[in-house]
Amino acid sequence: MKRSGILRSGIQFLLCCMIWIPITLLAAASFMPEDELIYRYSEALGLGKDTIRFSLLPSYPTIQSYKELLLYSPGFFVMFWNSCIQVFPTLAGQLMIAAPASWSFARYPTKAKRVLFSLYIVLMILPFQVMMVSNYLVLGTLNLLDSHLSLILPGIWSTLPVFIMAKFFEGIPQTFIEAAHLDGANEFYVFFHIALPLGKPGIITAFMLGFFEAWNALEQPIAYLQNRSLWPLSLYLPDITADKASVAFAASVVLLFPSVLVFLNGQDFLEQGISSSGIKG
Amino acid sequence: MRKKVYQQLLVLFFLTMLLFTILSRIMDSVMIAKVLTGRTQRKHINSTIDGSAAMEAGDIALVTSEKGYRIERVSVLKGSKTTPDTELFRYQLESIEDAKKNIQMELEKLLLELKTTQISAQVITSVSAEEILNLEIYVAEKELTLAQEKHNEGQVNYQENIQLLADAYQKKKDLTEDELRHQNETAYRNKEQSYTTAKANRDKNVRDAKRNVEDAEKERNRLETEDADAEEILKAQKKLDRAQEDLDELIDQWDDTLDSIEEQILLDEEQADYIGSGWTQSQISLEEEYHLNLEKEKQTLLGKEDELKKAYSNLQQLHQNMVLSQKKDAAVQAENLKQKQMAELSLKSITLDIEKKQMELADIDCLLAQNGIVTAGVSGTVVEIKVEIGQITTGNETVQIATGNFRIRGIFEKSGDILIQKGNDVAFRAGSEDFNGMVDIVDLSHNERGEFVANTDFKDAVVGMSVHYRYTEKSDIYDKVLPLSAIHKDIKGYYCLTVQEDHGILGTEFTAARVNLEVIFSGTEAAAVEGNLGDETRIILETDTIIQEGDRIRLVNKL
Repeated sequence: MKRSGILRSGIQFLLCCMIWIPITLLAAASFMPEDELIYRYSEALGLGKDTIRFSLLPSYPTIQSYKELLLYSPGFFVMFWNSCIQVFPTLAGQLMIAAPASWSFARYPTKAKRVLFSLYIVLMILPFQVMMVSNYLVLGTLNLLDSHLSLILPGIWSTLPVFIMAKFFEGIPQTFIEAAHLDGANEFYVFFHIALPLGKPGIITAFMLGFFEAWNALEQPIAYLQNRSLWPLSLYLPDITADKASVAFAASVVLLFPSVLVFLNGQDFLEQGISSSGIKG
Repeated sequence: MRKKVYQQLLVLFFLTMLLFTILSRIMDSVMIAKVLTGRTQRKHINSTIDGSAAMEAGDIALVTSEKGYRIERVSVLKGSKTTPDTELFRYQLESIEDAKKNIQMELEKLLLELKTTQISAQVITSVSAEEILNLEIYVAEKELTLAQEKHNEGQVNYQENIQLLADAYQKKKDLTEDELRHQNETAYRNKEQSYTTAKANRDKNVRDAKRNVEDAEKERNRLETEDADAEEILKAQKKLDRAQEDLDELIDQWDDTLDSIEEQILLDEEQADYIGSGWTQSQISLEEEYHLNLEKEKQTLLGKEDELKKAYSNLQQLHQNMVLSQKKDAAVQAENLKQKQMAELSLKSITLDIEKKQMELADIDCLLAQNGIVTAGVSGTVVEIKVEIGQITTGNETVQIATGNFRIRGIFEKSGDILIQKGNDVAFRAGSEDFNGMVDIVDLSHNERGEFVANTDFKDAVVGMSVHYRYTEKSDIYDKVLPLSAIHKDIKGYYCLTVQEDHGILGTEFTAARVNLEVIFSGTEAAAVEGNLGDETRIILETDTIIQEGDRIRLVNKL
């Protein structure tokens, strides 16, 4: 028992290392000078065929790449705020649309609703590429292409939050709702004062998953946004050139921060939500 | 609690991003290349030559200092403008007064020297040697004539005396002893009387001759004392020698005469003794006397002949001396002429010196009347001052005044696109003043550089002033002309950067795009080009930093 515990701990440590090594390399590369970066990762950067020379610590650490990124790359911030503009309204919209919808699916089960919910699930599991053309045509018809709304509106009507929240709302005991009704509470009161507080883990889980999806979205902006000034931060790295590789590594590190902080803020709810809804990323 | 920290970190992250957004925008506005843009133009292309040139004076007036004065003050500076009455500098009055006294003294000396020279230049006309010799010849001829007459007379006398002696001898021979004694006594007394008379005459003649010698000696001594001409002294010496010879000759003649009379007296005395001692003996003595007298007469005649020969020889000698005297006279005459000419030249020289001193004196008086002030005399600009306060002038110090228009001399590279041409205008700038000039001279004889001289009427010019010049030549009209600052060159050739409008991350952005060009004609500031440039293509003319193709730029109206 004791021996198997040590073995398990060792395997877990190795797994952690395997997870952390890329992040560590990323952080180390962000502090490398440009010439060292080219020397070590020339093949990865498409600048040569030398063997990649990994290093967890830079030979001559510098913050030049961060200085370049934060002071001399205004485009980075344009894209950052574009991401904010596109992500947070999407999340707010999801909260306003998905929460009532999922409450409805959870509390008023009918045959039609079941069919509709099944359709939601189908839509959820369909890859984006399948929906891209139809979405593009609809957005084009609505003259929403090349605007933030072309990303916000489809995001608002995403099916994943409905699915997650519905699972949480279904877990709220019926007695709580009946007691409220006996006390004279109407449906809106029950929704806002019982459903939402009790469904908070699901809402936050849906919020976090929606955030990760929207924050890291690549296909949607590429497909719907021709105007580069509307591009989100997720397109910054593909757009960067090899001669600014160090800036790319620094940008990657900065790009990690909001996701990590959001994750840390909602870590508990996310675990609970995932376990409740049976979703795995 | 932990969540609160995470929430604060999340908020802090967004605030930080906001801060860096602002900072990056600020840095971007500072760092982005600012460019001035323009379009191609259809116009001339000016080829210009820029360079430095130096101002020169067209004409220079020199004001020279007088010699020997002390400078009391200098009233102008280099670059001062002058009029004819402008005071340049002033001499110390005391030094002028001293100079005046010196010149006055020198003038007096020269006047004295003039008088001395005038006196010494007077030619003293003396009797020439030829004239003297002519006189001597004349005298010698007279003496020859006289000697000839005396000789002839002597010959006659000789015959008569011989005859008389013969007759006397015959008579005496026939006389008795008493008659003979009586006659002998009478003759003896006559001869004694003759001897006394001859001695008195000899003393008188010798005294006169000695006096002549003394006079000649005195004359010679006087001439020697007065440092008279050597010729005159020589003449006096000759005169003295001749007088001395005459005296010696006279003494000898009279001694001979007296000796002869004494001998005759002694002979008479002997004859008287013989007469007393015996007749026969007397007769013998008479015969001896007779023969002796004959011999004497003969000697007398021979003496006359000698005198005649001597006179003739003397005349011959004088005639021979005549040639020498003539040569000597010619030499003396030439020497006199030379001395006369030299004296005349000396007089002229002194006269000129006097005139010069008088002029200097007049100048000094004039200078004193002006209180020692020297004025410019001309209108112009002082370009050089070589007088200093307290300096004693040497006469070589000058103040140079530029008069008339100024000239500008500049150089240019012969390897440039154009050469400066005579007769064309050149723009000049001195400080903040702009003015023009016309090229008068172009010199291309130097290896790499040409030189030009331009005339200008710029009023504030100062000699030596450095000016900037610009020479401009216009070309034909070209359709697409760009400033040279907009044209670049690399290994691919000439190109320019145009403004390209892109829609990038930051919205509508301007970037630099490359357009290849062919330069047809290049001027100093612009060039005619051919290339893919439309009439509305905005071309980057100037930037505040070096940019390359693809760089973001910011359009401004003024850098």
